[in-house]
Amino acid sequence: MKKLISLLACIVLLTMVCPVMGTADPLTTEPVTFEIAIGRQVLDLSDNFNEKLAAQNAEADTGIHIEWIELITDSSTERVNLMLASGDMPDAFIATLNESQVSKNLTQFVPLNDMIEQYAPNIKAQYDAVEGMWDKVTMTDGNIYTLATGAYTNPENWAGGIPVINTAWLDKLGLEVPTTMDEFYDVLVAVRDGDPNGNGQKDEIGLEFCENDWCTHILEYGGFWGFTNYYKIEDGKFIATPLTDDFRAFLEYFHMLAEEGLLDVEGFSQTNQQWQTKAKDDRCFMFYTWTANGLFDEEKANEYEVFAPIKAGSSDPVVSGEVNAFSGNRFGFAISKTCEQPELLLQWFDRQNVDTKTKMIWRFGEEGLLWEMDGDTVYMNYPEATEEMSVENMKYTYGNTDMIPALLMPNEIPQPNAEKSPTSAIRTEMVNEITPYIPAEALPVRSVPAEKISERELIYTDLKAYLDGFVATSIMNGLTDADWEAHLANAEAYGISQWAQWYQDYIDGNF
Amino acid sequence: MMMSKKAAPEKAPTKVNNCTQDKVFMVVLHIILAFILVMVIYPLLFVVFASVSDPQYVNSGALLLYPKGFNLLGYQQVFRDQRILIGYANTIYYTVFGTILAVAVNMMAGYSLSRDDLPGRGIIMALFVFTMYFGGGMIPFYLIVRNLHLTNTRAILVLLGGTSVYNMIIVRSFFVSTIPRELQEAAEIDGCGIARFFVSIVMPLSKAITAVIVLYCAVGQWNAYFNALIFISDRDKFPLQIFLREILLTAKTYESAEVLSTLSGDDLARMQRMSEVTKYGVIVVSTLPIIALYPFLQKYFVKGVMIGSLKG
Amino acid sequence: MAQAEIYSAKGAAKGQRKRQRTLKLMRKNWILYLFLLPAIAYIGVFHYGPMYGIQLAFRDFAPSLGIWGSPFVGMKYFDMFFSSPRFSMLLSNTIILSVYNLLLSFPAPILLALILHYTPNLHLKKFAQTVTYAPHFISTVVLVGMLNIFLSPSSGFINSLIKALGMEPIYFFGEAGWFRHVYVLSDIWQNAGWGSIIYMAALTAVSPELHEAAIIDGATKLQRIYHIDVPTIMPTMVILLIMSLSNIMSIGFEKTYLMQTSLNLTTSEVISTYTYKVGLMQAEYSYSTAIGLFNNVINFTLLIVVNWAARRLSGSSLW
Repeated sequence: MKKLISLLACIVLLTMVCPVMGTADPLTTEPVTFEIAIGRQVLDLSDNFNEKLAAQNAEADTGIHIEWIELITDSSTERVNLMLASGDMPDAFIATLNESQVSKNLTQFVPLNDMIEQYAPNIKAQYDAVEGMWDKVTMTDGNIYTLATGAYTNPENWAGGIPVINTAWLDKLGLEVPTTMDEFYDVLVAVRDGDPNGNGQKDEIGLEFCENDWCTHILEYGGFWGFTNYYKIEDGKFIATPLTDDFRAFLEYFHMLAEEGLLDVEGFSQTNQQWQTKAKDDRCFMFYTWTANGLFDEEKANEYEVFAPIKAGSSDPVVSGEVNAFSGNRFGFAISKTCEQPELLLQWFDRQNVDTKTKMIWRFGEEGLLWEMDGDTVYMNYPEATEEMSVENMKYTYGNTDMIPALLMPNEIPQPNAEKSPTSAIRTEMVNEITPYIPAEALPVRSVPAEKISERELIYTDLKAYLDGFVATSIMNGLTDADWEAHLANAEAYGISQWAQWYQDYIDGNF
Repeated sequence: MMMSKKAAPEKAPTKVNNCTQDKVFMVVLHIILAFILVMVIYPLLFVVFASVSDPQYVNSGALLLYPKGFNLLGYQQVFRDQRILIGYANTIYYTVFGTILAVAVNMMAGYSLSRDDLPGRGIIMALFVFTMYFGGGMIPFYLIVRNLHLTNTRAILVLLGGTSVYNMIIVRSFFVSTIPRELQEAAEIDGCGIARFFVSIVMPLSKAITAVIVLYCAVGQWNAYFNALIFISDRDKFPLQIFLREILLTAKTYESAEVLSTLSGDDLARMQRMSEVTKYGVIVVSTLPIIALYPFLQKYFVKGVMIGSLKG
Repeated sequence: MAQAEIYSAKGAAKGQRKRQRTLKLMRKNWILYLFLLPAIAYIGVFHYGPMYGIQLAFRDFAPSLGIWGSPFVGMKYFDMFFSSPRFSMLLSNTIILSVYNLLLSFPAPILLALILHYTPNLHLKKFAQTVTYAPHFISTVVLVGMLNIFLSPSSGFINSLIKALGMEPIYFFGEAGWFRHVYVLSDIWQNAGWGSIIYMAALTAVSPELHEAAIIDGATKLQRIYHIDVPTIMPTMVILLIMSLSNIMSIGFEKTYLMQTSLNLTTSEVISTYTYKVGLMQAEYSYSTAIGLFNNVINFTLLIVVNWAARRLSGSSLW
């Protein structure tokens, strides 16, 4: 009875509202409902996805009602797997599928190739305008099953952890910013012995790192020797760095630093909070970080300045990152085979990509609060947090940030605003400063057959565990010639050559 | 039965000596107990202190014997919204009904399996134990629940709570060793049927094991979240643990630097403080009620039951 | 010939008598089956119902094809696991950690239960019981976080004590040799109280008369523990020991994983953490099902052996 009444009420409301709200061009005149599974962030404080302005606009604009199945990001993989396995599929998925879920279940999704021209003119035009865009969404069988969502790139993400040093300490110690490895060593010794934080205790840490913090791993320091990972790419060649002499030199140097108390070896085990506590206690001279503002108040943060790595080995120094890195979700939108009107649903999706403004409303809600437009340029705008809502809550409550039925193209990426989004502006400035050190070459973004992914993961799980252990023990205990020889043999046993070959084939487009 | 009565007269002269031995025993026992208590209480107090302290002190090792930088941010975060109350209500519902059901099933099955005059009990036992080691995994399990139309119902969480072969085995072995065969035979001669024997003689003699099973099932149900994660989509049916997980996840989100880049100044400091204290606050909030259950069950562990006297 | 016939006829008659007795018992005790019915239904539906999923270990699972439709790959995933260069290390780490944990964690709750049982002051006893039970509820994440804080070589209070005694601080999380000790000791700390509950309950079954008689006989408390209490809780001990022993391959994943650092991986990498890492990027259902099956075949075999041994040695067993 209750249901009937609410249904009636809905119909009455719809018939009353539609002629007023709907634009001249709805996609359908009959009531249509689709069911869509979409990612939900825990920061989202809304009760229902249809409370979001963009969802309401879309319904008014297209005449299509969406029933959202909101999947909390942390457990969505499990839920989606069960949907795929049980055949209990929604009509579409937005930002809840991953590469293996798509590549292993291609037959569960509708190929969109032939429909795009007719039903998705906006997508077609926008993808055509960006080189390589179609390759990113084409699966290995040559079909397109998914369309990308989120933002094409994010300049703040072009670098990972950026090295900073405390220049106030340098001033206090009467030292210049080091430019050679000798000077660097002298500075670290002076920091250890000179009590630059002035608390009378010898508690200063020259180099800090934390393996449990994604942007301040020990390997970032390898940048002095030209690598920040277990591989680097030079002239289209994939090089496994753990086999190089530079890698050995890095380990030996850091063992020396550890021996002399210039490196905080607790970094191998400490939690994120433990290391941040050390920084806040004014004990750390150099570390890699997102921004120093993430750790300190403004005055203290200003003491820390970007410090470009010094050349220590045979290659040019680097900082991890990739300029123009693609940060969209290639598997962002897919229509299930069970959907009865895939063409209409694709049209609905295309309509959400019609212009920057529509996309931004999906992303961050109404204009003027978290973002604003000046001509064609989008600026970020962060209001004061309230007692109930932080800025992050707002991003996921009013919009859905990256988990949206739209993709911001390179020309639509929001710019930071020094006044209204200062931390964003600081980060962007830091990234710009370090950009010359970001390697020019990066891995291509492309689909890989499901069995190839398994092959790579199985090798790398063992290999990475071995290498992590080797790096840590070498820095703690030192490295003899015999150790190094043994390491070369071990790395081989763990499949480092196969792994390197896998990537070489990937780069060369052999599969 | 181990002590032979005949030996008594010879032992008598050593009584005084035994007395001092017992005194030493009691002293040693109290020393050990004191040591255990200190070892256990300190970390517990640490959790409570940490839940109301500034995390800066917690992580730098400066928090030792009393809270430092007192604040209630963690608790404010936990009790900020209504969800937590819905969660409590749901969890209590699932715990009470799930426990009642599971205890009944476990006790009855455990008793049946303890009787050696039950033909086929060996096979049944083997078939039960087999499932402790082999299972079909998540996907077929989900399909079965779905085919029974039990997804997104409260019933499934009640059904899945606590009935376990492990509990049945514990109950069974308890009955085997405490309910003497003669008692059962005597009852049979008196014309007491199995059902009545179970209800009016076995159960009253087995309060201790019943208390244990109640505790096991209740704690299991209280802490359970995985089934709800998989089977429940209505937020108003979520148990407390799901909401607490979300709160913890929220707190954790503030630890990732990417998110932090959009925050500034006080906001940031507040968020980071929150993320740390919430971790400890959540433990206190979610465990106090279930810890409070224990003293009520404890009394069943204290007194020995006079099974021996019933024998006679 | 004739003799054999007579013998078999005798056997047949015996068999028939036995069958008749069984039928009679079944008729007489039908209500016991009724008692078992809910459990049988539950286990039948929720445990045996999904059992066909085991074949995933031998198939290349693709959700769209379903369990029955996914291609059969035989022992592929088992071979993959056995040929991992770290297989022998994983196996030995798993077994060493399990056995070590069992050796210390198994007796701890028994001792605790006996201590609590002999605590004369009722208030103290109840207090101690509740306090020792509480750590069971501390989540693993927080437990490992606390271990990190307490054991930090620079700021942890344990190392402050060590330094105060004039010794070198120990980097507990940085030395592979310490991982197992820290794991097992913290496990005892967290679970001994919880584990003692079942023994407390079993101790209530000791007839007070026995103790009275023993006291009259002049037995000391230690003698009474040895001759009265321990024999009473023996069946419970045996059952729990059988079950712990047959879980050797399934050492807890979460705590091990959280306690791992690249410096202690040589001792801390066990089968469950490895499976998790392999499955992390991919929903490798088939692979993890295969590893799970391997573990459980070993566990189950152990169960049968241990159960058989226990029946011969102590008279108590699972069946």
